[in-house]
Amino acid sequence: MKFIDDIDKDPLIAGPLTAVVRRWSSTDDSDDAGFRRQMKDYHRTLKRRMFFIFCCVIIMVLAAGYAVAYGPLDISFMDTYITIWNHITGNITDTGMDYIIVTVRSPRIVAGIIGGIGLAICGVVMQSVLRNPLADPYTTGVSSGAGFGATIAITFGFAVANSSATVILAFLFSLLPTLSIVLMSRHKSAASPTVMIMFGIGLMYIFNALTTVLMLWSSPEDLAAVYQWQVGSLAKVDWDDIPYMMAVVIPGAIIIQLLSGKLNVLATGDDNAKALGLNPHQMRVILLALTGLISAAVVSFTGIIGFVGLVTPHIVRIFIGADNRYLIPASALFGGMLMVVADLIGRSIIPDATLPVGVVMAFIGGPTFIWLLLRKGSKAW
Amino acid sequence: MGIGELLLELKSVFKEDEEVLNNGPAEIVMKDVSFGYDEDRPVISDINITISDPGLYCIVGPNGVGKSTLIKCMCKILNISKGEVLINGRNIKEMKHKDVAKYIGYVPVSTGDVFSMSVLETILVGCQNKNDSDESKMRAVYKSMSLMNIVDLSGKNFNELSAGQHQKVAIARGLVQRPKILILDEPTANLDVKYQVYVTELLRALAEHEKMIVLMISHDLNTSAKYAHKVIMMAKPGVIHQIGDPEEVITKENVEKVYGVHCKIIQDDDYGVPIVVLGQSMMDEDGNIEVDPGMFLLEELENGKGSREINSKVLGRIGQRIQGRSEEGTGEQEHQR
Repeated sequence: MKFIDDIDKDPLIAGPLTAVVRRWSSTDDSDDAGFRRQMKDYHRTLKRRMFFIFCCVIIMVLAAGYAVAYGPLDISFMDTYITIWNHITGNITDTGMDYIIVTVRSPRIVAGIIGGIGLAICGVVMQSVLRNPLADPYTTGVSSGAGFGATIAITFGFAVANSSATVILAFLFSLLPTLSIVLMSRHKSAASPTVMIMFGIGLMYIFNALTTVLMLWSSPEDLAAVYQWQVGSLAKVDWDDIPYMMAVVIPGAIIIQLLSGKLNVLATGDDNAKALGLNPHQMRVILLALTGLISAAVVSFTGIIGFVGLVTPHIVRIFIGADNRYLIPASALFGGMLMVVADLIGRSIIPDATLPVGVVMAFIGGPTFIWLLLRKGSKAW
Repeated sequence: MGIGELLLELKSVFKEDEEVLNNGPAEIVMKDVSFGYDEDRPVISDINITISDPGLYCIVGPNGVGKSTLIKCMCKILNISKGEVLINGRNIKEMKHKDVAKYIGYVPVSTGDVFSMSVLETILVGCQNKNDSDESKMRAVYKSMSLMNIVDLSGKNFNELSAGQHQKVAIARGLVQRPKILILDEPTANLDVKYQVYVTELLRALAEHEKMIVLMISHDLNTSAKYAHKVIMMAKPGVIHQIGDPEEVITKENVEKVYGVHCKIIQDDDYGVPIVVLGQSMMDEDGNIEVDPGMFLLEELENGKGSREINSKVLGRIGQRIQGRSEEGTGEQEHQR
């Protein structure tokens, strides 16, 4: 039937429908009970998310305080905070206490928080960008690259000559996988997210094989050093390292948070992203490069810490949903919290021995994660 | 890629483009457009259409004839290999996705996401190009949800929904963009009868009231005949068979030729629109259900009554194909199965 300018005169369109269409197209935003209800529900959801983030911060601060207080020399919980406060305000009263708390014990806590934040953000972004629940710094090859770099430094003796050689080599090699994924993606057939992650897994195997070869040829002392590096620990980080980690992780996290709305678009698939006005390829390259840098900056100082990047996003999604605008900050804080708590447990659970943070994380996190999965079903992914 | 290049790309993501949308009516022109995933096997070829009047345009045609490809070429989801697509006179090759999205809303055949947000947030993603306040975005989302009657689902997780509900959410997300041109890939797939009618009726009403160009792919010839202002019929091998008013396009001759199904057309007394009553499917003597429409077109040409939409190039290629087939023999038959 011919085009009819006035929808009221179109016999094909039911009367009530014309009213609905008019209401939709009118700019008159008169108060509507339905809309108010929707806003109320949405604000309730937002409050719940804020509460989750708030809880993570509180637990992180408390755990950090306790972690600093815990050690061979017993320092009370309150004294810890007072000493830190005095250090920040420049009003140091007890230099001995200040030395123990700020110089000796704090770096590993701060490194844990930054590392947790960095790795968790990488996990969220890699999973959304590659549209794959198994994406993390490990499956994209970043960790294996770092491991290979560190192994070279240790087995070839660079680490003895220069103490920062391990970090530098680990950093450079951990950039290789993301860099090659990005370069490969210029090639048309390698541009799909699935190909990218499979490419990452391929690289992971190659690097692991190379590392194994080097380990087979190395001396027992070197082997032990390599092995220790591979399980990942916060113990070797000191204050000199932290500015480097921060310089990458913090700006990276801010940029990623600014892009989080676009990440939501990208996560709906390439066709949708294009239709919604986003260049998916460009966005994916930017985000992968950023996460590559962030995870390299963390992993090269701490060694390979698995689990945080992979599992934090999944746990947080169960609580607050998959909207990246909230998922990213919440995962970051949850990741930071998880690292501090796991490290604390690792130091305290067995007297006179320290379990590396990665091991603890897998021990506690693994079963918890499985329990959450079985309990909540797989709604969010 | 160097850091500098990365920073440049990053900057271009945040940079606001100059306003490209003028307030006049929208227009899509496709000139000699071809697209193929392989160089030598085009999915659609030599498409020439001008859509400048607002209205509901139904694209009909058999499976695999390039309907989805055609609309994806219109909104730059696929980069055409030949020809040009113009939106309001601007070549989309030179436009960014962002600019194209200001004119065109695209609604895909909806499926679940890997990680799914709530329905509300899923629709909110459609607003990402707008610089409105959060409040007005939420209001736009609410309006579109009430138009699709899914307000009750707003807090639900997208992946928990049924296929039909996914479809409604996808349509709502397309509407929230408030585009001049709305393109929908089978919006009525997965919907129940009530919503099939509702959605088509709604799209017609929107086209008339908002003066929008609404293009939808449909497999329902009767709904298309009833509600569409124009019907675009596509036929193998990826060409436009005919564009015109429903009663011109949905004819016994066309349906039999393009789909290979016997049918009769009766007239709806209330609205004066054609109704297709389908009969048996056509098969060749080997029992192949796919009847190559190229054969019909060639026969038509031989009989000297080729339809005006079939240009000589296409006929040339059909001729080659048929020749190729007789040379290849069984190979082509296997391909058809």
